[in-house]
Amino acid sequence: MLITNIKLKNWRNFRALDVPLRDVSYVLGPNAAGKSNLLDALRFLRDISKPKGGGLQTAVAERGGISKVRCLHARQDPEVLIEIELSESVDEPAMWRYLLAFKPEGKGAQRLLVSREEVWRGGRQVLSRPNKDDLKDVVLRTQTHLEQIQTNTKFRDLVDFLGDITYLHLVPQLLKFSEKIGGHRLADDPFGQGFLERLSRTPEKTRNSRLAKISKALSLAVPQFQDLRFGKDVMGHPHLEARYAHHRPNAGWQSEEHFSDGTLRLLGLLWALLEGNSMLLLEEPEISLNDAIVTEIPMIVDRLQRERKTKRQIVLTTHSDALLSNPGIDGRGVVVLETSPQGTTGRALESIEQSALDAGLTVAEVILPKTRPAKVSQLGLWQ
Amino acid sequence: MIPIALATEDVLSEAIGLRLIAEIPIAHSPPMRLRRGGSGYLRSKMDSWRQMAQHQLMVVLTDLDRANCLIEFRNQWLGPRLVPENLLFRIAVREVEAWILADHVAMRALVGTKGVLPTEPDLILDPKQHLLQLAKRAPRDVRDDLIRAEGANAIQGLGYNSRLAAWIDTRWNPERASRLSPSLRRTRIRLREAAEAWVTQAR
Repeated sequence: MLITNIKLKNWRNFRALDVPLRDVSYVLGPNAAGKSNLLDALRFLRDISKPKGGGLQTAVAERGGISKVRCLHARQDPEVLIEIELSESVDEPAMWRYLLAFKPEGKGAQRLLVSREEVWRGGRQVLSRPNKDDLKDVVLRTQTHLEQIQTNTKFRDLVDFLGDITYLHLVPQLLKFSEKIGGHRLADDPFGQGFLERLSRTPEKTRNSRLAKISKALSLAVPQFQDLRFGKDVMGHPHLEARYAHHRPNAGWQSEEHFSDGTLRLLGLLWALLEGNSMLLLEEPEISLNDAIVTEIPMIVDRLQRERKTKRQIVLTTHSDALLSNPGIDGRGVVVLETSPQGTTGRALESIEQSALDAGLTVAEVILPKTRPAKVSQLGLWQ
Repeated sequence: MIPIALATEDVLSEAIGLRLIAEIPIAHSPPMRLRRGGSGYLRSKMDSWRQMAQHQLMVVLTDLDRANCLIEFRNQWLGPRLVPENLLFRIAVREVEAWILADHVAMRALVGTKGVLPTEPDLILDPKQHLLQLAKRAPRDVRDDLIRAEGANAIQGLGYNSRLAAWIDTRWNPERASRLSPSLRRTRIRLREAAEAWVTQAR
């Protein structure tokens, strides 16, 4: 299953957005255009639907409350809306449609209430809220039915899909200095602080086979890299260790705090790609990586997709010329975000851009220049 | 050791150039690779290539594409100035894909038994299209790499460069390919001659 369309209203910096998504979608836009916010709309649905600690109130509270979630440009209409369509495969008509709208109560304690919630399956509506019960008992509207096992039996598949959405944006420093930083971790560990525990929880056989695969990739990408292994120290803490070709043949294994940022980023990226079958959100996978490696990312993703029985939907944000320089990138999967004083809008490629791709140009050539701020060349004159 | 630099316009030309340099029978350094995508870059840096040729064998590899005449094309790029002895400006007729197509043994290993391979690849007007047509009937994994997905807004598969570059590295044979492609044959001869001349100069 995959999300084929997403609509947003008043979500963060989007006053209105309506864009199609494909098996692999590339989200492009200038800095602060809202690339991460688009991914966050999907993470938000995940946070509501996830079996442990989910729910609308928590998901909004974790984002700093409704005033942070709602678009600053929403003056008249205070309602935030997210609507998605899903199909079995990308060019099939929508099988599911899910719509969630919510806003503050408008009086008293300003409770956050669901103003609309709809589920459609194959064109037939299976949920429409507010319903009779909601009108009788307004407290019911503080929760969505995504988070209600009793009421979502008719669309459990949808809930499971949303609850499984994965996001991993591994920040090498958080991992390297994890023990020294200690303390607080965000739910679902989006930044890879607990990446090693994640490896540790994976069944040994699966872990070994994934690490063997990753090790092969690293030996192509990281000079002198030879081997990768997982182990625990005397205290029982999990560690990754790598061996490099060295002038001292028995130089020994180095643990993850000595890995380069790029090595850790690539490792995290490949692990995320191998782990699970659900929708995967990747934020700027090019960070810390050499352009030659970044160029190969679309192909790595495509290859892994092909090997799987169930295709995995991937949405990635990027600024990278190298990543988008492959003329094989399907323009239909490109989402362009454009900013204006009224907030960000987004679009698929226009026909003139599509014809440029058909003429052999790359997304890097046709679209990336449009995401450059108009006066950016003056930035160098800053003092 | 002969110092060598290789300037190309795309991944495949670079892969081919590296194979051609590798077969030079005289000791040479690993080539300095210069590539920024596109022939515009290659042409705009012509003065730099000329200067670099003072210090090393400077190989510049480009495609003739749709240009009519080799000599005219060459003159357009090099102008009326004297060409430095160690600057090798080589033109694939009409694209480096023609050189790829010219090794029938390696091509069969790639695309399988279906489709007709050109006996005079240098005469094909659009070698890349020819190659893509052949790839359409190739085994599944090759096809998936080289050909765009049905209906995709793209001209080729995501793996076109990766797959062909790996194949050029391991399967493609310059000697075999040069039997069918005169432009490749001339390039191989010129490369060897230039390397020999470098050694003589050094003495």
